[in-house]
Amino acid sequence: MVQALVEEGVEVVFGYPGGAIMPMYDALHVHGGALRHILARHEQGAAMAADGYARVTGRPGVCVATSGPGATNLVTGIAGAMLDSIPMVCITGQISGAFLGSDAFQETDIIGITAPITKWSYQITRAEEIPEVFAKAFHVARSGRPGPVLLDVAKDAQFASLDFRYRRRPPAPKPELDLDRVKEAARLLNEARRPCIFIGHGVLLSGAQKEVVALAEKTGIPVGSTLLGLSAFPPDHPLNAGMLGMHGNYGVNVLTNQADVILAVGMRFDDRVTGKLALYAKQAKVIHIEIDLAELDKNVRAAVALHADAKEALQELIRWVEPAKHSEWLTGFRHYDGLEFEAVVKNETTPAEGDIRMAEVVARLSEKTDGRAIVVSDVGQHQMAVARYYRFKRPNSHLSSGGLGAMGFGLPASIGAQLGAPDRQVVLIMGDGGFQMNIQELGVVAQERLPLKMILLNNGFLGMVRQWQEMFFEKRYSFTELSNPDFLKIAGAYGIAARRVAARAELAGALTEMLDADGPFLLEVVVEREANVFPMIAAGSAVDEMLLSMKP
Amino acid sequence: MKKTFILSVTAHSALRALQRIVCLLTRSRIDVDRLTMAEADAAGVSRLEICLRVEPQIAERTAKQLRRVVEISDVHIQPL
Ligand SMILES: Cc1ncc(C[n+]2csc(CCOP(=O)(O)OP(=O)(O)O)c2C)c(N)n1
Repeated sequence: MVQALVEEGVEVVFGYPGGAIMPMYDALHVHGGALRHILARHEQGAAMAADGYARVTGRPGVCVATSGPGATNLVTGIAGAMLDSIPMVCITGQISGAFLGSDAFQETDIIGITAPITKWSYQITRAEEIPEVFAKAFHVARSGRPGPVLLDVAKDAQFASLDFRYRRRPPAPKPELDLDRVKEAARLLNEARRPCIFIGHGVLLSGAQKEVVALAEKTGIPVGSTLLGLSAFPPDHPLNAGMLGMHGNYGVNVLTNQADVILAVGMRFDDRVTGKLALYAKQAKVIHIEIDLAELDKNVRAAVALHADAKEALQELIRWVEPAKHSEWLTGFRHYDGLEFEAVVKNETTPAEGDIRMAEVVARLSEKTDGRAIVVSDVGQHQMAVARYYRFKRPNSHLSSGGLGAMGFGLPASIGAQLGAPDRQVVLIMGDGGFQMNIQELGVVAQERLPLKMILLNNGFLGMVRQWQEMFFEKRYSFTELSNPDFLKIAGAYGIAARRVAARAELAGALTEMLDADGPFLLEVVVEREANVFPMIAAGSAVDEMLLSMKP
Repeated sequence: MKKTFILSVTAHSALRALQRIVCLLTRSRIDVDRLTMAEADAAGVSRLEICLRVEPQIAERTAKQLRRVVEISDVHIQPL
């Protein structure tokens, strides 16, 4: 198994040992140096670190766990990778073949448990299967729309020896491009008067950032991005229309319902993007470029459905579109940007008084790092602050649990990101709730001396849920207030440098101190306790009913 | 409005395919009237036939989702 990973070019694996995976761990020891093994502190941490590693490197992340509880602890990490299309190979030990099905110690049917959340899974009961099945696992994880696969390996198969011959399998060929449909798409774009381009994670997965810029510039069409597409389009580009969806930008959401043609690339019209589907872009003709056939016509009917790799499709499409400018249409976006700036952005990013706001921390960080850091967020209000206010200038630099929205993602994912990109500045931004969901992974940061920079935005609440309670449950704050530990002492116990700031005047200096630190650093910023994220498309509302502030 | 469809699936590992088919059907709360699984042929290829009652869009969606399953090589869906 270790040999198979080496053959696949794997450099780092994240894992946690236990009985049923001990033969593999022994091989990791004996062949020490062939692979770098990172010992997580909880298997969920191992899975999420492998996910973060895959997001920044584009290569499958690998995690390893034992049977039973080790395997079930991976589940949330696998589910997140499935929804966010992250290539991952998860290896679990299993009790020996002869005992399968007997409720033996630490036996769980992990193949059954993970069937709905893996792209593929397989139980290996004979050592001879290992080379072929591992090669297939990496092949499936990487091909088409990437995703997690799980290999469950019986202990006796791990002990047995075999005649090892390995043949790597290249990723599956891309779907064949339908030229007639590309031309039809070009015709729609050429005739459009109020067109939009919406990009998603698929653009990053296929490496089509340049093509998107080229297409947008040639046609003069504004570009909106999903949460996971964010670092794919330059933030300062005049055609950047911002983020789609629930807490995205005002103009691009409202104007979705005025567009006549929408070109959607590598995105899946998630409900967080569309709001009320029955009132979503009904007037628009949609061109949908998507590598996963099952996403075409799923939520939104496409006038032109292009089952294709984003990069290949865009390269061809660019040849057929005519140069255009849509000045009047763009003026509309600027108008809404202005409204959003006055109603929200100004006061969020440069408040004159009051407690520190999440957005200003992110905005200052963005300035200080010139938008070039890898920024990982956890889940909640701070996640939306990162998405809205960090200006990502480099691709594959925004890591966020999008589809699953799993609290606890941030710390382990940023560990994986730092290991995948050791020369880059990696900054984690998290809430006080999510930090405590995988806080044990600080042990990994300390043990590996990762130069990870961690910003804790402490509002003393499960902020995002509290916001919903305020807005939709008449301020009944049911179990969302936290009584927190002294986070500086926790960092101190791990030997991690830390500082707390609560005053605006100290914020810039504290950020500089953190960024300049050699090793890991935890910066706790005490922020406004009951702040709300706006704009917002309330659940069940249409995109053009987006709110700029609390309803009176 | 729910209609009756016949879903025919060709799979090279019948039981593992069936596991994923069942996951998809239960997840979308699709009613199944009848399910037959024929013995695998010499090459190990099996055929499954499932009679469903479901809304047409959900039937179409499910057929596409089934095509993603690695063990499944072919999916046909037809209204009865
Ligand atoms: C594992 C998990 N449990 C529960 C939730 C529901 N949830 C979404 S946001 C949130 C609050 C997060 O609070 P915190 O981490 O303090 O971040 P904040 O919103 O205050 O920035 C909760 C509980 C979730 N997304 N994930």
